[in-house]
Amino acid sequence: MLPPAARLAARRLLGLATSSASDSAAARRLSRSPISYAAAGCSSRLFSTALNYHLDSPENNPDMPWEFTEANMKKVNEILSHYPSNYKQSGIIPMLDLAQQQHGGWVPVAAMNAIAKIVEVAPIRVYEVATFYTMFNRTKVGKYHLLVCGTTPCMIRGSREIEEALLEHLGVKRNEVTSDGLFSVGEMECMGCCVNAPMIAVADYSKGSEGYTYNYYEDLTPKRVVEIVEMLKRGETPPRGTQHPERKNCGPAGGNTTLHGEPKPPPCRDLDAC
Amino acid sequence: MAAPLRRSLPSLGRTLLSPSPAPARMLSAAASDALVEIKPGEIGMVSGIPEEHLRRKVVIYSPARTASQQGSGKVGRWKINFVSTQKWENPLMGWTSTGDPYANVGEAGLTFDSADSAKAFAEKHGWDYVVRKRHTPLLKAKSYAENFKWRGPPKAEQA
Amino acid sequence: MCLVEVEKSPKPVASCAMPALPGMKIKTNTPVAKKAREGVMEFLLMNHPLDCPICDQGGECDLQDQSMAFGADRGRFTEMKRSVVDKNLGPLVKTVMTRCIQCTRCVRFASEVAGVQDLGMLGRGSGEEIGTYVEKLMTSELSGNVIDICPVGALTSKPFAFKARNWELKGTETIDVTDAVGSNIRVDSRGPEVMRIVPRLNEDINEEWISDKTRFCYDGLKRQRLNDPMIRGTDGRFKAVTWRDALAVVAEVLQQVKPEEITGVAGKLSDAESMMALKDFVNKMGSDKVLCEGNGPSPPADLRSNYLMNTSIAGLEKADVFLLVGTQPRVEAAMVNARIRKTVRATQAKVAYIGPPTDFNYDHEHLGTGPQTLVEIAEGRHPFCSTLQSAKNPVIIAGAGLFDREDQDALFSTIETVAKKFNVVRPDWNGLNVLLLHAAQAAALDLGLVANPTESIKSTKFLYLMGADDVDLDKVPDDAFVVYQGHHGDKAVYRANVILPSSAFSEKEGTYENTEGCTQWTIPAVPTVGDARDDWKILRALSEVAGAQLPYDSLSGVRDRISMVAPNLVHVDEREPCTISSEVKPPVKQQVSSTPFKTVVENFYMTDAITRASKIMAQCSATLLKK
Repeated sequence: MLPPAARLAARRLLGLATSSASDSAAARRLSRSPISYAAAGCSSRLFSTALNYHLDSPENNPDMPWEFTEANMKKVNEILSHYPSNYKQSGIIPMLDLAQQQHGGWVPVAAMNAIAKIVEVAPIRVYEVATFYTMFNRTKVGKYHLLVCGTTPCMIRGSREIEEALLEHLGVKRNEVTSDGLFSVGEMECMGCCVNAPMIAVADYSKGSEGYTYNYYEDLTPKRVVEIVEMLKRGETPPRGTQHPERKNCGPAGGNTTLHGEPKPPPCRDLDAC
Repeated sequence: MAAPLRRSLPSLGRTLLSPSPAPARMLSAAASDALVEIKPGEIGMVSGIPEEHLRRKVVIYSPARTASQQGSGKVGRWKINFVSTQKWENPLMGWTSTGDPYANVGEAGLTFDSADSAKAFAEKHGWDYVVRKRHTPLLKAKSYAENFKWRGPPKAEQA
Repeated sequence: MCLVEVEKSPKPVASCAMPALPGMKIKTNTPVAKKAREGVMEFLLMNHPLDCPICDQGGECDLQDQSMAFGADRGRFTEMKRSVVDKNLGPLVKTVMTRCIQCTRCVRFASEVAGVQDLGMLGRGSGEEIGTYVEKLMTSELSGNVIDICPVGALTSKPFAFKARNWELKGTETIDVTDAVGSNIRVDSRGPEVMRIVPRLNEDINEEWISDKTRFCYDGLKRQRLNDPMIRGTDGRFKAVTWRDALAVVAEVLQQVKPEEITGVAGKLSDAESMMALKDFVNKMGSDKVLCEGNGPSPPADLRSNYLMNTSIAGLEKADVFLLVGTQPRVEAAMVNARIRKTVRATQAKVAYIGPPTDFNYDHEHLGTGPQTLVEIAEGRHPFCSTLQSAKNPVIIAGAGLFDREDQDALFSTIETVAKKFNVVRPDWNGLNVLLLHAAQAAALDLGLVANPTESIKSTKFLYLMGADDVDLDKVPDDAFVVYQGHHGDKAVYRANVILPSSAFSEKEGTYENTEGCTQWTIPAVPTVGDARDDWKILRALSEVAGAQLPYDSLSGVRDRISMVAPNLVHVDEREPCTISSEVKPPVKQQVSSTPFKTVVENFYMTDAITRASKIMAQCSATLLKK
């Protein structure tokens, strides 16, 4: 049992983290005082998931029954078959991922316990993994979890405007779920799409683990990102990848500017000449 | 601050007390060629120590390493515990009073390099002594990486 | 801190992780190494609060030491330090998690030594913290050791919090008496008060750990103490009297009872000297009814090997199969359990257990609950026999709880049959063990305090309880005169007619023999309370008043006497193996009963007068034993 004061402090911290996160973009521009640095640091520490410890709630507690569905249990067995039976714990990460897909985008503590039982380790070993990786959500997210890349190239190309547009359009704060439970917005670090910055990743948990997709939407503008959200809301799947009309995949906009001819084969040593 | 003072004692003890070097022979009771022959307990008698403290029981021991990893200053040295429990809380200020002049000598004041020099010191003062065994850690070669070592495929019964 | 400069290496090398190779030129004291260490230290101190003056670890802190040795005199970190929510790990360990430097020693200790996988490293980056994720108390009998292990003040002792600074404390190296292991401890005292107990390294017994009971029972030494000799008046209330009066009253009653009606009972915490004195005194008064509690109706006291841990605690590490019969080492002797766990972890040794269902912190096979299973093994009918057969160094550990059973002779002979059958006792290996329960037990059996408790107590008119609180007081006849000599006002005091206060283990010099037959001494750390005296001195004084003067009047005198009865008890820090084989035993005609074994230690935290008086132990049993 956490003492009541610690509990209260934890709740406050939770509130602070989410609120300061949404304000932080403004705060960052406004001042460079150490305090605002600290607030930003605090929020950046907690962006993908809330806290490093669990607080019981009606929808997330260890007493909740939780099991993999039958279809997923097959996948679990398939995952386990990759590893020697005395190294089952290697399957923790894929199983957490599977549990997250099954449970609408987040892993409740009961699911972690279930995984611990399957791989025969103490639950804390699973908690350690789940808290380490920021892509495992330990609090509720929307059916479409929108992750805005906030790393330097995207930031330079306007990822903050993208995030602001998203938050404003959905009327939520960062890491908050919309009232219809459809969307939540988070921030994540570089996804390797710097060439087409800015980008967001959309994790689609609306169709369970069978229809789970994880798509990148690149070359975004604040207008385009709102369109994408609207399409998702209508149940459509916007075309993934670059949203730039003139770009193909990650090639230059408007077609190639160099390398027009056939690529030359690599020079080969004339072995006979030796 | 106290450390250098304390550290200086063993070297003094070594020169004066350990049986092998030459100066020690001068004080040794056993050596026949000693310049001054000192019988056990004589130093105690001439040093003005009250009579009731001449026949004391002391315990010679080597302080164990602390349970946490810090502070190894006393490890490997030898101390004399005077088994002094004559202490009480002084009602005036709540400080600790003692009726034993040796109460604060043992742990803080005397350090020896070896059990033998501590024994010689105790003999010189005519104290009954017991030497406690020193426990040293058993060093085993092991590496942290072993924890993560591949322990082979599953055993037949597990599979 | 381990960074060194290696010639031709472009960067400083972490010497703790780098195997030394031939031809390597290592420089440990160069500007490069020094600067690198300073850098590491600066990182360590970046998020570490500067609260050393109010930190309990201050003065014995690894980080302080390191920082003094290697650190710079200033840091360049001007941002906000991080803060971490404190965790609640129970009534013993206080956490200030902001001080944590993420060394994960506690995580490793909990999962590797204590065997409770509760602690873990959660989160990542600067948000990384040690915790349990879900709210969970650390329910391990060894949890106190994380206090020692923590290099900073993140995990400190809750009962010791803000009570004293460690440089005020005087350490006395002595031993623990709360169980039969005889863990080596250092009693830290300030003036006349015991402030804390910490472990002392002894690789043969407790390695460097101690159980929570050992570590935290010390507050029991200050509570419920008996200060003055007391006599119960006609109104049923105790009245403090002088020693002279108290002894005179006891001696007078002694003259009035018949010699065979005198019974002496030594308690769990008695030292060998006082038990010797008690035995000599009772014998001198003409009675042979002198016993030690916990030894049962007819303990196997003839051969030392029949009641000792012959393998020795350290020897358990060589075993590959354990058969635990009616013993739950986790609560009976936590340090022995830690040793078994260590063996199981290191060599995948197999553990089989016969007894009531209980918690183990390692893999084990529960074979059955009663002696029937044991008989099956002895007759070779049990599937476990094949495991025993193939074992190289099998170990059988029988609990001292079996002493209390009616069929104990038959049980021990069955165990011996098993031992013979599976080659447990060989010239090079003795795997037949008895795990004793109390500190006094081994010495009592050595000295021959072996009278039958039920009979002796039922017929007594004069009962001399020397710290014995767990005798069946209902069986004591109403007209019996009960003298209680002890240090705590515990159960038996309610029945006592006269109280003679004695000193506790932290206040006297005494000889104790642990369960493996290793003799050790306690050394007084603090003055005794009130007008209390050493146990053997009280008996010596009483014997004089009663007209049967004991022939010794100094501790060395008592020890001389002991050396005549049990010479092994004067050889301190030594284990004397038993040389006589068990072949010479008479045949047993008794039948094994089918009554299942029962749990001997119900509450790990409260087993004797000291632990029962301890507030911390009471808290532990209230919070940690909750099912």
